[in-house]
This record gives sequence, C-alpha cells and structure tokens, in this order.
Amino acid sequence: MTARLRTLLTDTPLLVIAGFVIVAALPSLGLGFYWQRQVMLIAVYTLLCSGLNLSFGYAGELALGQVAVFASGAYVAAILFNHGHTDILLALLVATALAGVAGLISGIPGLRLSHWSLALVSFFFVLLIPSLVSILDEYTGGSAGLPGVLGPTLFGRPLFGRDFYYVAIAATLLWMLVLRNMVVSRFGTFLRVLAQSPTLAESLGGSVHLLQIQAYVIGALPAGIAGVLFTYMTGFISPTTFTLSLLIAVLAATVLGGADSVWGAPVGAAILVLGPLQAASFQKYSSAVYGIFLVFVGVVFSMGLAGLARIVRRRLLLRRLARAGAAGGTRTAGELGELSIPGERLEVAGVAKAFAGLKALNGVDLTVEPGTITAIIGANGAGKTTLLNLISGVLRADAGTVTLAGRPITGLRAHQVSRLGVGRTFQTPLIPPRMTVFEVVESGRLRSGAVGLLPAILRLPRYYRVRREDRAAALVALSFAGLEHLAHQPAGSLPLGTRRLLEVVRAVAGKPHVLLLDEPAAGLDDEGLRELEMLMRRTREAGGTVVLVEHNVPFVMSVADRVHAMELGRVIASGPPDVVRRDQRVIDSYLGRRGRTEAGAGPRTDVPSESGVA
Amino acid sequence: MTIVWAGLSVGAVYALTAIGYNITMTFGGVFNFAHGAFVILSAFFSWYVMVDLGWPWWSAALLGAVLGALLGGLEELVAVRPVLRRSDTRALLVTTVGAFVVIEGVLAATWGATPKSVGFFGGEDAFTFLGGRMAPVDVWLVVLAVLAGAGMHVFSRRSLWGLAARGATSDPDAAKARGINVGALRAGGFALAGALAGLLGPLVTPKTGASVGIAVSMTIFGFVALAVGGFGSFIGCVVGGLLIGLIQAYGSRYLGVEYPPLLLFVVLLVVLLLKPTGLFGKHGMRAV
Repeated sequence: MTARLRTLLTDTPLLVIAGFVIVAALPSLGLGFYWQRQVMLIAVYTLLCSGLNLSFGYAGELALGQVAVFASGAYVAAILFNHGHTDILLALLVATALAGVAGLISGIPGLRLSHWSLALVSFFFVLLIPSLVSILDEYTGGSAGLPGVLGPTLFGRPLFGRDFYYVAIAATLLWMLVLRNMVVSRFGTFLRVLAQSPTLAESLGGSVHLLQIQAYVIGALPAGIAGVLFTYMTGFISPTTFTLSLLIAVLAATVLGGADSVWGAPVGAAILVLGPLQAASFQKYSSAVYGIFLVFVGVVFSMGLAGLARIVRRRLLLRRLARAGAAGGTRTAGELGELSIPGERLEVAGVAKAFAGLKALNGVDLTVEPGTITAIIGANGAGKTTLLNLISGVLRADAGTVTLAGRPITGLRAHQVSRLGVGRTFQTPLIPPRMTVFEVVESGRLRSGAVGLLPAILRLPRYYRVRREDRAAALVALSFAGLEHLAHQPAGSLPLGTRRLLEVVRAVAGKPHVLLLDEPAAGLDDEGLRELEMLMRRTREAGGTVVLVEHNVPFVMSVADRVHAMELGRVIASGPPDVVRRDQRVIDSYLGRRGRTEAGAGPRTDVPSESGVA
Repeated sequence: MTIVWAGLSVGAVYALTAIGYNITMTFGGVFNFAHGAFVILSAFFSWYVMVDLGWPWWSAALLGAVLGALLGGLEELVAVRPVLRRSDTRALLVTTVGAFVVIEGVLAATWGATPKSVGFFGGEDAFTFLGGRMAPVDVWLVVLAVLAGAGMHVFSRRSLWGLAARGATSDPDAAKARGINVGALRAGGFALAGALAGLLGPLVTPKTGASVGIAVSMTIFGFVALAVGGFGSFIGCVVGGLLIGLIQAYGSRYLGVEYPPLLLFVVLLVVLLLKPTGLFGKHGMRAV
C-alpha cells in the first residue's frame, strides 16, 4: 500500500497537479489582484522556459526564438481581438500554429549546420520583431502598441479577473502535462540520446533531422500560448516588451531551474518573477547579473536546481532498493522468460569505399550465417571498421551491395538500417552519462516499433503496452548479462569495461537480426573478457547473428565460429578459426612470425594484439 | 552612387565584426557569441578616451587594443576553457551568450545609459567621389576592412601560428600530441579578436556611434556577413560584409528603413539552405 502510494507520488505528476489546483484556488482564499497577476506572470514565464527545456535541455539545440514566438502569439491575440474574434481558444489555436511555423523556419538551417547557426538564426528573430511590428503597423499599432485588449471570451462567456486567472492556470497545467508526457516517453529518450550523440540516436533508429525539427517546432508552441495569455493578462502590448533582456531573463531562468527537466521551468520562472533581481536596487545591474549567472551556470552548475533534486531522489531510491534487496530477493531471469533473438543472414558483395582516393575497401565479399558468431580480423587500416560503418549505414558504399535476410540495405541511412534490425556498438562506448543503466538498456528498444508521440501525449493504452514490453525486454537483457544489480546506477559512473558490456546489452535488448560489435574487447580485463564471451555465446544460443571486429586474436579464436581476415580493404582468408589461423597469407600480413611458429603449438596462440600493445 | 558608398562603409563594419568571429573560429574552433559586444565596448571606450578624457585618437586605439586583448583572453579563460575541459560544447553556447550579456549589461548600467558619438580624427567634410558623396571615415573603413581581411588571410595561411591552428582545430588530440598548445592558441585567438575590435574603435565609432541598442544588430549582421562569405574564410568575411552592407543600403533606400533586417534574414536563410559553405568557405560550419 505504501509502495503504491509512493509510486503515485514519485512516478506520476499527481503532486504537481495538486500544486496547480492549490495555486488555482488561491484567489478564493483571498489572493489579491496584484498577486494574481504575479502568479499569471509566473505561468507565462513557465511556458516560455518549458519550450527552451525541450529544445535546449533535452534536444541540445539552443533555439533563441522564444521571445519572438512569444511576441507573435501576443500580437495574434490582440489583432484577432481587435477584429472582433474574442474567443481565446481561437487565439490559442492560431498562435500555436504560427509558433510551429516559426520553429520550423528557425530550425531548418540548423539541420545542415552546427549549433551556432541555429542559435544565431533564431536570435535574429529578436531583431525582426520591431521591423515586422512597424511594417505591419496598420494591424500592430506600430511602436505605440495596442491597448484595451481585455476580456476574451470562452464559448461566448467573457473572462475577466478570476475567470481569466483560472483559464491561464489551466492552460499552463495542460501544456506542462503534455510536455511531461512527451518527455517521459520514447520521444523524450530519443531527444536525450540526440543531445548526447546524433550518431547514437541514428544507430538506435531515430532520424536526427526529424527529431530536431520536432524539438524546435514543439519547443516553440508554448511560447505562442504564453503570448496569448500575456496579452489578455496585461490588456496592452507594444514592441518594447519583447526585447533581448526578456530573452536573456528567460534563458537564465531555464538553466537555473534545470534545462533538462520539466518541473525546473516553474521553479526557475517563480525565481525570475519573485526573486531578488526584481528589487529596485538590482534593476540597473540585472542584465549584467544574468550574464554572470549564465557563465557561472554553464561552467559549474549545468544541471540546475532540478539536477540537485534528481540527485537527492536517486540517493533515496538507491537506499530504499538496498533495504528491499536485503529483505527479499530480486526476480531471477527464469521468471522473466527467455530471450529469443531472430538472427538473419547478412551478405556483403563487392563492397568498395574510397576516402579522397585512398581505397579503404576494395571489393569485399562475405556472408554471415544466422545464429553464428563471425569475426573480422586484420591490421589497422585493413578496413574493418569502415566495413562495419558501411553495413550499419553510417557511411555510404561507392559500389557493391549489402543484403539483410535477402533484402538490400545498401544506401539506406543509419536509422533506417537500424530499424530493419541491425544493432551495433561503438569503439568508444556511446552512453549518455545522465541516464541510468536501465534507461540505457531500454533505449535499445527504440529501434523496434513507432516513436508513438501521440499515444505518449494522451497516455493511450498503446503507450502503456509498449512501455511494459520495453521494460520487460530491458530487464531480460540486463539479467542476460548479469547486470541487474546496476539497474539504477547512473551510466556515467560505470567503469569502461562495464560500459562496453552495457553497449552490447543495449543492442541485445532491441533483438537485432544482426549485431555488429566494434572492438568490444578493447580495454577489458580477464574478468570482463569472460563476461563478454559469455554474453556473446548466450546471444548466439538465443538465435542471434553476431559480427565482431576485434584485435584480440585469442579471444576471437575462442569465441568465433567463422573468421574473415582482411588486408588493405580485401578479405584474404575466410573459414573456421583453425583454418584462418594456419593460412599463410594471414600469418604474413597480420599474425606475424610468432603467430606462425606458435600456430601449431596449441590453442593459446599469443600474438601481438592491439589491446596488448596499447 | 552615394548609396553604394554608404553601403560599402556600413558593410566594412560588419566585415570587421565577421573577421573577429572568424579569428576565434580559426584559432580556437569556437564561435564567440560575445564578439559583437566587444565591438560595442570598444566604441564606448573610444568615446571615453577621446571625448571624456580628451586624449588623442591613437591612445584610444592602443589602449583599446590592450583592453580588448585582456578581456578576450579573460573570456577564454573564464567562460570557454573550463567548459571545453568538460567537453560540453552545448554549455559553450550558454557561457559565450553569458559573456555577451555581461558586457552589454555592464555597459547599459554605466556608459551606455545614453548613446554617445565620436568625431572622426581624419576629418568630417564629405566629398564627392565617382558621383557619390562620402565622408573620409567611409574610405578608411573600407580600406581597413580589406587590409584586415587580407592580412588575416595571409597570417592564417602562412604563419606558424596559422598552421598550428589549422591542425589544432581539425584534430585537437593529434595536435596536442605534436606539442601544439591548443589552449594557448585558442586564448591567443580570443585575445587577437578582442585586440582587433579595440584597435578599430576610434575608426568604427564615428560611423556607428556608441549605443547598447546596436549590440544585437552588430552580433547578427556580423554573423550574416560570415555566413554569406563562408565560415573559415577571411576573404569571405570582407566580401560578405560589403555585400550585406550594400543590400542594407539599397533596402533602406527603396523599401524603407524597417525592411533591411527582413531582407538580410531571407538572405541568410537562402545562403544557409542552398550554399551552407557560403561564397568562399570550404567545410560549412558543421565541423565546428
């Protein structure tokens, strides 16, 4: 019973809803007009900050267009009102549509360029506000502004004073819940992965371009809502409201609250409205203080207040789990069901790739049978990783074909290849450090099925079903590798060896048709190697197809069913480990003299391996 | 023709700002959002030295260069270096925007309460050249922008500094392994960009005036000049700057003063979409 209550409090937004209800009830408890306005101002800033949370905090792109979108929403409401359309729902609808368009325009150049250009293109909007207002002065009232925009209607009923207050609080809560549902879903996970590494997002099956566009567009929407609320709250708008200082204040409030947190926004907004900087003695220097604050936050305190709260919460959770673990056991893999991985055949035919004239791959042919472990060995520069990148769609082949289960996947982009069932790991493990181990493994499931943004927002049954399946599969995969005890640790705290294993587990959780491992054994100690070997054998036993690029020859020879040796972009020998090991060309090119003299001596062939040298 | 001269001289100011951006990008691989604020700071500093203190223009230029170099180096040390050490390039945006706000905020609270103007040391009398009216400061600006662009172009390609920087920005780890002090190069780049902004204060201020309000447009239009000319190319900065100066002058003349920002925004979007490398750039800005 207490556990259930605790889940309700920590895993659902129940507390926050209760908080909003209390805030909404304040006027009936005697909150005066001045403070009602202050609360509504907090609501407006909350909306502005929450947009930045999504685009900057989660997706990692600093879109500075918030204030301009805010202005567009405000003007839309005022202009509609002055033309006799007083319905607030209509204003909200038009404003959010316009906000989406603005987000799209500022986001498109960012797709092809870096973070800087997105920040500056969206910053440009600040400069456009006064020009646009004066060009359209017939509607906007120019620099004089538009007065008397008070009392919008809702279903024909005019909203004044307290009624409007309720609507403003309700609209803010509604948006915050929508945002929260988006963030706590596959979509949110994708954005967090994207902020960490676009390459990883692609390899987990997410189109980076689509995700970025979605983040800009959705991040712009609340600013449009905020504009409408602001207009009807103040009853007067002019271009002097929508300035650089406002933008900076909102940015500061966002990072103070915690950029990658939903509920940091109201906290940051409240501090902005009620905080010390509003004191008259500070007004003069407020801008400079915001600046110092931004530098400070960026340098030492990048997680904000919400980050602190998260650390405390995680500590409490770990302590509770420790207590629970002492009392009763955790579930074993047997109870969770077996993992079955549908391995498929992978064929590579005549694949070639050149970098600026240098032929990295020069006609590679190889076939990987389902349910086997296939290793690719070769000296540095033989083209092993290039081959892996071509198969997984990170690079495009100049010639040749790659087919998966008879289906050509040549020329597809990385996220498409991933969605067709190719999972992979990276030479340097790509693991978002702020996710927990469990979340990382769960993210391996993103490849299969839809992102499901709408089911997530509305929390439809489909969302819960997918989440249940994802969690179950992640648990099975974790127990598969014996890592259950780490489930709630932050992934960034793990040692390198465990992170490598975690990458494999993440890929396995997605039940890939083919699993590509890029030097998984590098930097692992004996214990780590044993665990990795066990994990690979289990994957094969579960039906999986594993392709392994590796320098650690003893490891390869003991685990692989089939070995392909590469030299200068070609396959020079293929076959069972014993055959390849005795191949004269392989010995000459890669294994070296020692390899030859010891080749017949026994299975423990010790050759100079990359990991040993490094 | 008067419009052409006016456009070119305004464009020269943008070109010089773009060169400042490009210096930190070339030598440190970092886009310094605060560079526009450095230009405005230098404008107020020139006013302070030349008008408030009544000292000669060359002392304003020299002191401005020293101040700019110090502040540029300081920014690198405080707002850039600790963030890069954490290899968190996303936070770099916040901290350089923060540096911009600090400079702008301090100016707004002190010298910047009212806009200031400074006379040009080379004379105020306009003259007619090729059928258009222009002031001496216009000629100086265009000539110096071209010289600065060409000078930086040669410096970045021929000098040991420039070569080391190219290695450092394309592969910092490999450069470090070869004994290149990547951090010092970056700090040097910030100091150089700051010094350039400070040095040119007495020349730029008679044209633009000193006011906090133009910090945003300086930041944005300098960036547009860089984007049109091509990221990484100093020649591109000059061409891009002059080009958008002309667009601005013609836009104001034939459409109205409120149109140039809109025009330049469209120009920026078109360039970023159709030719992200700009006119002279090679790699676009993705790699940065």
